[in-house]
Amino acid sequence: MKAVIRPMEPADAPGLAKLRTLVYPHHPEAYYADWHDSVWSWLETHPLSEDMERWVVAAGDEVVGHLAAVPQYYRVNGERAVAHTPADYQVLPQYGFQALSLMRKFFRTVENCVACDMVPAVITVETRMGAVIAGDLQYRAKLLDVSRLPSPSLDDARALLGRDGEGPAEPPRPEDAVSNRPRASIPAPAKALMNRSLRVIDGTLGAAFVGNGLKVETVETFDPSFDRLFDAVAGAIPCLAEKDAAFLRWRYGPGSPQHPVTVLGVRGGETLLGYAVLRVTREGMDGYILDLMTIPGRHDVARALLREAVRRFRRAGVQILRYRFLDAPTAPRSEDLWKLGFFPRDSRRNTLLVKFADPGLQGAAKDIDNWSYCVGDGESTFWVR
Amino acid sequence: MATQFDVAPEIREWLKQNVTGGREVADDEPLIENGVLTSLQTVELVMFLEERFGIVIEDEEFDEENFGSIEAISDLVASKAA
Repeated sequence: MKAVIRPMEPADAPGLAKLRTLVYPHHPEAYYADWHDSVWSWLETHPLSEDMERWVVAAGDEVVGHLAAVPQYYRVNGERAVAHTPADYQVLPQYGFQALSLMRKFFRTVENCVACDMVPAVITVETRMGAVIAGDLQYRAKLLDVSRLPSPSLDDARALLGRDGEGPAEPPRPEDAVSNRPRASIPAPAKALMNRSLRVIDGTLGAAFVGNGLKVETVETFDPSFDRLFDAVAGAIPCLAEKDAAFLRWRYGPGSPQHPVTVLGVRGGETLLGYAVLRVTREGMDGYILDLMTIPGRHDVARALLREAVRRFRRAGVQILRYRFLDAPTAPRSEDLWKLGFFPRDSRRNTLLVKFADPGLQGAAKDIDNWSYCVGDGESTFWVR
Repeated sequence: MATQFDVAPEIREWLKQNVTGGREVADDEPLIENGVLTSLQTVELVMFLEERFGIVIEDEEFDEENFGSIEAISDLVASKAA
């Protein structure tokens, strides 16, 4: 049966829910149809939602593919620009041509595109369609609890002892324990000892981490001081998502799939010097720094926010803390992340891709050094539960 | 007006240069079925055809049938360039 691409209709929702389980059978989230519906309902509350597009690949009554174009405001070279992001891209493997047609449809429909992707095949398709890789986000993680780690194997032990020529690049990864063959977990007494050690190390690292007397507070609302901070950043950084107070209320406020979040702020008098948005996943084991932005060059503010973020996540019982961001004057410096015990996850970075119709905007956007970007700024974290 | 006979040599040459590493491809050789052309390479071929012949290949025309062989692609392009 010939598969056709057409705009998605409400009646396609059950077919799309089924498709998700076929494409991602091992992902528990794939089976949460109501959750995905709620994310789409939230996206329809965005001020640009009328510009949102969704297409399906239909083979008879069956939905075998889906792609959406999600719009968002950006500020590029001081100009407000709307760019779309490809979202919820999934196609059954036997419909390769239709997978490409979907992406062609996307790039023919939208004027501008900003994408933050990790899957090499998707990045390849996007670049063949004309998107340009601006650069890679940094990915840093911090272990707060060893409970999900498997007991080290002989190979791990050798690596940890540095007997295979190279020291360990990074600690064992909880997600690898899931994908590899099952191994015994760390025995409880050892686990308790290791967790105590991690706490002690964190306490020492945090204490040595001079915060310059800055006070980090919990922020209850995204008030107009967030607009002023955004204006200050946009005045110095050529490319960024338009993260004014209205956007932040939509992005993280009631109704958002990531709500509730903890928002930390540092003020100097009435001026907001920087903020961080923290999210603990529903299962409670993972913590995400979805956003951390300061006035450009205020690394002391970024340090203070980071240190407090670690404290809050530890208090919440988070086991691993994840942070994806671009190196920028609004973000923490690498050496500060090292000092706080964050390790790099270079093999799992997101890539920022751009395609702007206006050559001037494209010229600015394709240079990663022009950007300030955190993983919470766009579509890739809309699906964090 | 481009005919199938004008288009085929150009596709043959494009495949030689971009896909097969210099190997000649017969006009009736199954490109998809034999794995000569991956779907991503098909995207590049579509871009080449659109630019070279000033045509637009519609999404519904972008399938295994129309891109199954040099003959089939030539027919599609000729029909659009007519």
